[in-house]
Formats: sequence, structure tokens, C-alpha cells
Amino acid sequence: MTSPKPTSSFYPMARGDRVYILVVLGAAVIAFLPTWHGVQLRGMALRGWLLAALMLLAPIVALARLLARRRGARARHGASPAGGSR
Amino acid sequence: MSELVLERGIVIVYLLGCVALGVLASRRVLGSNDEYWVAGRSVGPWVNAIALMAALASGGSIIGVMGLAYSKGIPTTLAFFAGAVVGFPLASILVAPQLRRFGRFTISDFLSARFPSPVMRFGVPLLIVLSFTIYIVAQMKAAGLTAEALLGIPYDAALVISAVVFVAYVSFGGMLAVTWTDVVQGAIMLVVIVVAAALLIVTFGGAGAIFDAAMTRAPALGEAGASGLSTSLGAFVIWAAAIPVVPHVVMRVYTAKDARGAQLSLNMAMIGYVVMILLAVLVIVPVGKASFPELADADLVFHEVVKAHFPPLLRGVAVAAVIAAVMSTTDALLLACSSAVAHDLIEVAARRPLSPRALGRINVAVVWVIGAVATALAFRPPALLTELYSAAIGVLSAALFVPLIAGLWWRRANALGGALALTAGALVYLGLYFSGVVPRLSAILYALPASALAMLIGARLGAPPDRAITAEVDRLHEDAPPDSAPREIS
Repeated sequence: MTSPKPTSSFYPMARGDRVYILVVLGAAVIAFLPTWHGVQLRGMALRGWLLAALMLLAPIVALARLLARRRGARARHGASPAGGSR
Repeated sequence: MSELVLERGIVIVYLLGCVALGVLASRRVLGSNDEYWVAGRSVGPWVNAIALMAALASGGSIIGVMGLAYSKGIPTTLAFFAGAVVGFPLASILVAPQLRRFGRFTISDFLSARFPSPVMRFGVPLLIVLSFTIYIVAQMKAAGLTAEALLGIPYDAALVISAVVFVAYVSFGGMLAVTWTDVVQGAIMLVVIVVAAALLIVTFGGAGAIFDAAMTRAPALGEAGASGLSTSLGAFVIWAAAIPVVPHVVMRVYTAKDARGAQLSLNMAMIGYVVMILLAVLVIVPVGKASFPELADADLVFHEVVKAHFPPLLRGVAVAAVIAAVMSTTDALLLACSSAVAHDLIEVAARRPLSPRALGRINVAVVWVIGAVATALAFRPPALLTELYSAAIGVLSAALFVPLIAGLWWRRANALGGALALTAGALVYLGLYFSGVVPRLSAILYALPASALAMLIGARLGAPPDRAITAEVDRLHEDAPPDSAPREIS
């Protein structure tokens, strides 16, 4: 069990979650930079390719992270004498 | 003629099957609010993921995504839908586990408990009903266009038939019927889009060949400037902020067996959704643009591709898939509206829990009334489905995103801040949208900061939140072992 720090105004977020959100939002910001205006790759604006890549990668990475964390949590609870191994 | 009979036969069998599922589900759900609104909180991650994907991949997504790409170009379209994809991990991390531990029925339940005030209690359900009625109109238009273009049924008649079918099974079968039908509908949609894209790739000699030919014949398809940067960014932000707050997604979180199941289903749904959108935009639309460069109604591009390139059996299944997309979203929207009125407004105004039988009657009446209003509005719908329902969803994002995220993650968020954030977000969005001072969909770029500022001002000026409330929010952040049963609030 993790208990939130009562001294902070904000509830703590797992570091991996924080990094994931920042990376995804950062990728979105990069995709929308005006710098890419007029840059094309195979007939389509670079912004389109960047957004398509973001659409593909964001869910795959999110699912991989979640499954890895789930496995880790199961292993920890299974190893603990008090754990609820299934 | 026989081809038309086959296509119509497939659609009729499909529609009757949905009604039958609703009737079957009604035997189980009408005696219990838990069963009616959140399917007894017993839906596993795989089923929930497909249902979630189906609820989000609306008629607007299937028909609208292609219409938007056809008329405004692929990069602009991807800006709309990439926002939804980014919204899923936001919802999965920022909202899903906590709301699942909260364990009620609707987003209003949480916001009213976290920010007790009449603005929150009545404002949230009213905004949901307003926004979702417009969203439903967009879905109705997709159903009418599909039936008219592919089955030869007049648009108005198709509207009425489809409205009666999905209103019937939602009103009687509740979330259980919606889940069962959404799973079937989600699977049909995914299979049809994948098979259609695969057939086109084989027919035209590869995805690259299709793409290159389309870019040569219609270079505008690949340009990013068709709608302007602020509109694209606005659409992206609307959807990124919407996924964590839109009630038909939040209710799916409540149907999950536990908090981790809710997270898992959100992430799996996102992958199915992305596959559909990218295949539609990068394969089907280029074929449509190259084959039919001058369509009067861009939303008809999928229908024209289906008519020109697919055999009758697949055409029939494709019609069923589009109607499935319409139905799977509309049923979820209707259910969310029903819960907003019956549970969030009437039950709260009555100041006492109503019996399941009384609530059941109210639910049925609400679903039929909203279905009738949306159908009436859909007889003369505006152009471009995606822009229409994105605007409607924008007001929900503007009003609810900051209160929900602050309510879950910021201890100092208080009732005054919540009420001000909701009001400021909604008013700034609607004011800018209707005044035309800025490009319409970019109104969200001003509304969200205004909402956040209002939250800060309210927290500064108002009384701090009650200790019982912060203790309850503390509990929502407690980590739970995997697959443990959630603790329900008494």
C-alpha cells in the first residue's frame, strides 16, 4: 500500500506514469510545431506522419507498460507470505 | 435487385438481433440500478475494451473520419483522432483507477460529491444532455446517409427506423444490452474495416501504390493547412481532454470488475480504435479520393468505395458495420443521457433514492424523449459529421476536464473552485464558439486555461474542502493489489 503524502497539495503519481504523460504530450507538441509547415514526406505533410506515429506508439507503449506493471505486481504479491497469489 | 435484397436482409437480421439482445438483457437489469447503468460492475477487460472501442468508434468516426479526410486532408483528420488516442492514456492514468474505486454510476456522482454545489449537481447533467443530444444527431445523420446510399431507403425513413431500434434496446436493456450489442458491433466494425482495407490493398497493388496514386491525383489530401493550425490543435485538445470526462467512457470505467481492469480495457480499446482510424484514413480514403474526386457530400466517400469495389455480401456487412458504429455510440450516449436525467437530476431533486421500478420507468421515458428530439433535429442536419460532434464534445471538455482532474489530484480544489471552473470553461467555450472571434474548434484553447484559472481563484477565495471529502479522495489514491475486489462506498 502506498499512502499519499498529506503535506503536499497534490496526490503523488508514479514516476513512470509522469514520464509517459510528459513524453506523449511532448510528442504532440512537436507534431504541432509550425516548423513543419510545408515539409512533406511522400506527398503528405510531416505533421500527418508524426501524428500517425503518435497514434500507433502511444497505445502500444501504454499497454506494454501496464502489462509489465501488472506482472511485476503479481510477482510481488505472489512472493509475499501475505500476498494474495492466484 | 437480388443484391439489394441480400444487403437489406443482412441489415434486418442484424437489427433484429440487437433488439433481441435488449429484450434478453431487460430480464436481468430492470430490477437493479447497478445492473441497468453499469452492468453489475462485472465486465471483464476484453469485453469492456471491445465495447469501449465500439462506443468511441461512432458512425461519426467511421463515416465522419473518412469524410473529414476527404474534404480537409489526412493531417487535419489525424489531428482530430490523435487527440482521442492521447486521451486514452490520460484517462487510464489520471481518471480510471480512481473513479473505479469511487464505485458509483456517473461522472456527476463524483463531481457532486467532490464539489458539493447546485452548479455542479445540476450543471453537469444538463451539459451532458445538451452536448450528447447534438452528438446523437451526428450519429443519426450517419445512419440515414448509409441506409439511403447503400440500401436505397429514403433518408427520413432510415432515420426513424434506426432510431426506434436503438432506443428500444437501450431503454429496456440498459448497460448490459449496450455491452452485449457493443461487443458484436465493435467486432463487426473492426473486421469490416480491416477486410475492406486488405481487399483494396490487394486490388490496387499495395498500400504504397494506393497512397502514391492518391497523392499524385489529389495533392490536397496530404496538405496540413486546409483547416489552419489553431483548428487542428483545438480539435486535438478537445478530444484529448474529452476522453477522460465523456460520460459514455466514464460509465465503461464503472462497469469494469476492478481498477486495473478499467485501465487495461482503456488501453486495449485504444489499439483497436487506432487500427480502424489509420486503415480508414491511409487506405480507404485515398482510394475514394482517387476514384471519386468530386463528391458533393464528403461523408459519402466510404459508401462510394464500398459500392464500387466490394461484392454484395461484403456491401451488406459494410452497411451493418456502419449502422453498428452508429448504434454502438448512440446507445452509449442515450444511456449516459438517461443516467444524467434519471439518476443525476430527478433522483437528486427528489432527495431520496427512487425504487428501481420507478427509476426504470423514468429511464425508459428519458431514452425515448431524447431519441425523439435527436431524430427530429437529424431531419435537417448540418454538413460534416466530425466537426459537428467535435464541437458538441468540446463544451464537455471545456467544462468538466479541469474540475475532474483537479478534483482527483489536487487536495485544495474546493466547491467554489469546481463551480467556477465548470462555469468559466463552458461560458468561454460557448462564447468564443458562437461569436466567431476565433476559429470555432480552437475555442477550447482559451476555455481550458480559463477553467483552470477559475479553479485557482475559487480555491483561493472559497472555504477549503471538507475533511470527509479529502479523506474520501485519499482513499481513491490508495494502491490495491492486482485483481483485488474494489471497496464499494456504502
